[in-house]
Amino acid sequence: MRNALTCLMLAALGAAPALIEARTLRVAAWTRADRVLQADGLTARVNGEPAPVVRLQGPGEALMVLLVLDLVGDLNKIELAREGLVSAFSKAPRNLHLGILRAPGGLRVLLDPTDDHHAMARAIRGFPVSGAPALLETITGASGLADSIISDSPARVAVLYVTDSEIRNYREDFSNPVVNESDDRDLSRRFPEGLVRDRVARLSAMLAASQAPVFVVHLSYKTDRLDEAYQSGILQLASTTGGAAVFCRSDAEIPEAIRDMTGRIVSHYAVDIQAPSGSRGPLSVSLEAAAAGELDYRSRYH
Amino acid sequence: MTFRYILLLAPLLAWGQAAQPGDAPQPQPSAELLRRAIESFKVRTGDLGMRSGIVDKAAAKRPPTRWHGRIFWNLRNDVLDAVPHEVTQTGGNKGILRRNQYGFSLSGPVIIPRLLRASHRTFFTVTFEGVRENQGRSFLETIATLAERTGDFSQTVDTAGALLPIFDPQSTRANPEFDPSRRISLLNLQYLRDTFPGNRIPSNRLDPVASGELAHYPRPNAAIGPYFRNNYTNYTPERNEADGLRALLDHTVSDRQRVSVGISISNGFLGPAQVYDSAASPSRPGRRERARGASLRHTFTFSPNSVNSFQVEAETESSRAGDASGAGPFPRYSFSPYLGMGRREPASRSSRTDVEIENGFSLRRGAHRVRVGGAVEWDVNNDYEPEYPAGFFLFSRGLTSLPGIVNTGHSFATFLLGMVDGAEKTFVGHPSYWRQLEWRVGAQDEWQVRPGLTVSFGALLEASLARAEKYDRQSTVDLAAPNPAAGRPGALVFANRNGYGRRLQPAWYMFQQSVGLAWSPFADSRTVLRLGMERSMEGHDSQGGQWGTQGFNAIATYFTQNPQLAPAAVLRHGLPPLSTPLPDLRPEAANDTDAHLLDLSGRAPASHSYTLSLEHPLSRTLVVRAGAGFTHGWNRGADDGANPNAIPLEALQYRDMLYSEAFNRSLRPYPQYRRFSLNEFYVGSERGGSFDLSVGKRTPQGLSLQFQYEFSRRMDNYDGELQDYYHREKEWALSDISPHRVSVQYMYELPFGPGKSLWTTGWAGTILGGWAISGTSTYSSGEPLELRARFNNTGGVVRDLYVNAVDGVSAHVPQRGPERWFNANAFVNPPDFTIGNVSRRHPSLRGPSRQNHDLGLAKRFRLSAEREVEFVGTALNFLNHANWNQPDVEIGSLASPNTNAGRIIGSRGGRIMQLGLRFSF
Repeated sequence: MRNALTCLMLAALGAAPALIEARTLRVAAWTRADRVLQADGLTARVNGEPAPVVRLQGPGEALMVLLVLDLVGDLNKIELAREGLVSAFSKAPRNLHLGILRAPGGLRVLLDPTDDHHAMARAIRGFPVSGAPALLETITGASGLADSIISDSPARVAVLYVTDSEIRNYREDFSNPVVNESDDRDLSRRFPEGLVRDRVARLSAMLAASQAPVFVVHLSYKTDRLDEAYQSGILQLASTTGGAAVFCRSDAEIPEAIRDMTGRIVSHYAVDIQAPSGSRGPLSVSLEAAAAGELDYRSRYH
Repeated sequence: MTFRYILLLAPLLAWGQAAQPGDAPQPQPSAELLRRAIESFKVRTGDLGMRSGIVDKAAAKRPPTRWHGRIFWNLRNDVLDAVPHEVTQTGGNKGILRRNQYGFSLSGPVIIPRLLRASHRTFFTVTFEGVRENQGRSFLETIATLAERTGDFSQTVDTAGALLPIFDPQSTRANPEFDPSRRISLLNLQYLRDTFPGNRIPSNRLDPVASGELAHYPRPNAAIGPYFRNNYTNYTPERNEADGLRALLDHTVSDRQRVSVGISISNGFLGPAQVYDSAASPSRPGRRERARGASLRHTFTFSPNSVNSFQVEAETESSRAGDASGAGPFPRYSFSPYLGMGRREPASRSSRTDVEIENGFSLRRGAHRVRVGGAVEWDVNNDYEPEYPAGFFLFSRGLTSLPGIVNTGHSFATFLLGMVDGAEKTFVGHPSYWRQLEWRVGAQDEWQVRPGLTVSFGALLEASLARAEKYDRQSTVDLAAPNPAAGRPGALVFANRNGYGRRLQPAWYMFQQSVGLAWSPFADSRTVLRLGMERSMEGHDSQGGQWGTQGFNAIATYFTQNPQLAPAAVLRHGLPPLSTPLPDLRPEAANDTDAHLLDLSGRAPASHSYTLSLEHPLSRTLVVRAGAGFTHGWNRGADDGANPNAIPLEALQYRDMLYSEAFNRSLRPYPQYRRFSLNEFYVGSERGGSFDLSVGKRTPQGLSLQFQYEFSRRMDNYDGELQDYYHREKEWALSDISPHRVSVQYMYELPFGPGKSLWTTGWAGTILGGWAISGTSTYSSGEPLELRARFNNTGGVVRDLYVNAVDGVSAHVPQRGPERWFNANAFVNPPDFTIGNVSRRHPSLRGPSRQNHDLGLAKRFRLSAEREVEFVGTALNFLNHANWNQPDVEIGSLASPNTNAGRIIGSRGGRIMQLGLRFSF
């Protein structure tokens, strides 16, 4: 029985090429000035070709947020983040279900998606602060999970990372420290961001095919060259998925940044459009809705 | 599991159907979508091993996680580099450069066949790096001319081009017509002395040892000038080899515990280029270096609000320098302004081991986050560094000059005569084994008074114990201890003897405090005002080597009774042996030497600092920060800037009598010592302020830009040698820092290729995609100029003589350039036996500014999702900009001006490039 079902499952997955042939793109979009985006009058183009809008879901419809906690450092900032998250999600509409995972040591579920605000608060306040940061190791996994859920149920799904990660604290060595102290004419470390840039570029290429937007709230703003490259990379990764990243320059900014980011997630429209058959390689998407005015949306896919 | 798949199939198929062209989507209730999404979440996370309880089962089904890594090779070759400007100016060319740097790095989950499959719990990183480098180095020096080597000074001129007369010390005789009531001058000489006939030293007068040593001395091979200066260039190879390995193992014991262990190993050899290729080369000897390190870190999370971290780090480095051929070291001969012979520390070995144990505990309670911690640091230094085992011989112009008259005589002529002005010889019987311990405990509280306002308080108690020697072979002069031989205070004392402790210096217990405030004064929390106040102190700064071991080791010192009349030694006779065998633990063992003096006062360097900054985002991607700071420091450590044995300036009235060693020494507070050698003497003060402005911009398109400007102004009364050590309040001057500094750092992923906005496909996308630029540009204005007198005729009272300002003449010039950077006519050498009236660093004259622009270019080629090749080009000073050298700041006398004063001769710098290839997987 199990084998038969597995075969059925594989057969269903085997249908995926047809699905890819007529590829459905999930576009995260926002209206400006509180206008409402409606299906009527909404037109989409993929690589300049008209593309039918197969589904439009707005802020009033089902939303699942996958909250990934990547917090390993300053307890003060973490506590502010905890309270900011509890506050933000306690005011969330009932159509929002929050699932919580932690990143250090690999993605692990802390809370299944729920609209129970008390359960959310318990999970957020109770997770242990330990391990090494893992945003770069887990972001494709989290994004892939969200994409899988979208493929199973076309609800609105978004990923929200809350992180205090510093690039030097990763288990993998991105800082490329000096190996030979006696070699004082080493130029290879003049621009130390190379390894971070490589990893971000590779992740960015993977995320370019993702569907769910990824949002990142970073609890600190770093300006040393290596962390500058890291945080700039986070900004790129979030942008690639149609999401956004924000970096808090002060403790006071943390609750506000979380509130703003959850607000942005809640207010997003999920526009499912059908790419023309045979569309391959990079896809450029454009959306227009005269009634809604100017739109902010993800415009590039791979 | 089966049921989950059944649940999965329906929406999957529905999604697939929805994707069919032309079909309208079937609206589904929101609640239904959510229910399916939740179920999908549970199924997917279970399958992916993200859920407790089924992690291992799921993990067992997955293939082992891949390892990541990189293999790299970096290449430097002289073909890629520009000819350095300083080499071009001397008519030289590039030398050979071959540098290869290669290695690999591998990281990922630990897998032990049959025992441990890949898991996220244990992670390793191993990095190896090797370097092989040969590089030519250029030298431009001034050495004795061929004629001068034979004693012929008939063509030797001073800096103004006038013949430099060489006097015969054997012809010295008292001037019967000398009038002691008048100043010494050409019209009133105390001693008469004849020049050598034709300004040539007869060959039979040349010292045989000096003549013999000249066989190891190079001959001129250039004529850069002026006046025979810069007449020797050389380009010699430098070797650099190193192999190193770093390994790190990180293990997650549980959700609450993490342990990481690291080791590092490195072996290297540095073979510096030799200014000339002979046993007498003054360049540093080749050095073998070895480094080992180990670390252990453990983090334990007690609760969501409390974390403890513990770490132990140990590092050891050792180096061995010098000729291992067995040939004895070459003596060091110094006859400035010419390039000398022999080197300092011709053979040495040392090792340094640091062990640090640290624990910190963080607790969040209410509105407070408290951190308490402590650390112990143990330093071990084992040194064997005899400075001049074959002797150091100093030659000055005095013995070939006309006594009392500046700008006569020549130190190389004095060398040829073998008449030593001063000499040293180091006797080191055994290495010194230094040990030092520090510990600190501290606490910090961050209190969130209300949203938008955080106040932090910090307190740190630190104990810094001064160094001890394992076998108590340590000594210092105690300025209060009686010296029986001299009959006055100031005697050598020894560790762990006669009531002195093992450490000689008292332990410092330092209480440091800090207060900080972060406030968002407006409704927008992104605008932040920060205030900080801190009182900080510094621990003992210990010197290694054989410094401070007099009595156990010795630096035999030989000095003349009058540097213008009598030599301290004659080369052909050699140096006499030590008068007292070692160990010599008498209080007077350091008498008549440059005695080593520790600061026994208990003063610890401290400072107060105050900072204020405002940070405000102008947009989502643009942040501006402005800040200001003020610092006041006291008890700052001085070495040249302190001299407890200085002669008070009032003694200048004795004029030429000061050249009598006996009389000169009698004027010193501690006449039993020639001078003191200091490590850190805590007598200095400093104060200053700064302003900085920075702008940062980051965009999602991959641009990161940081601009920073800083203006700073600091004054001190201890940095460098002073004229008047007894009136430090007169010595306040600008510190040696650049007042204006600008830096721009940038990183940019070019917007071409797949995933970018332009040329996303096709050949253009392949060629133009994947490029990234990194760069740094810096600019700093010039530091304050230190003007110094060319002729220091103060009888040894003032070691570093400032200059006099000429009334009514501006130091600045209308059109500043290398030919005339400042108006040297605004200054003049102070008259004999007087001090200069211009401050230690000029208040408004600055040296030339400097700028540098470094650029990195990288191009990635994706081979697959996990593999790529990257070409990297790095160029330092990629604009090949030349920065001017410092202007000549030596001011001559009216009679013999320095014609180069105020001029900048030459510039430095040149583009150097490295190409690299990295395969990542």
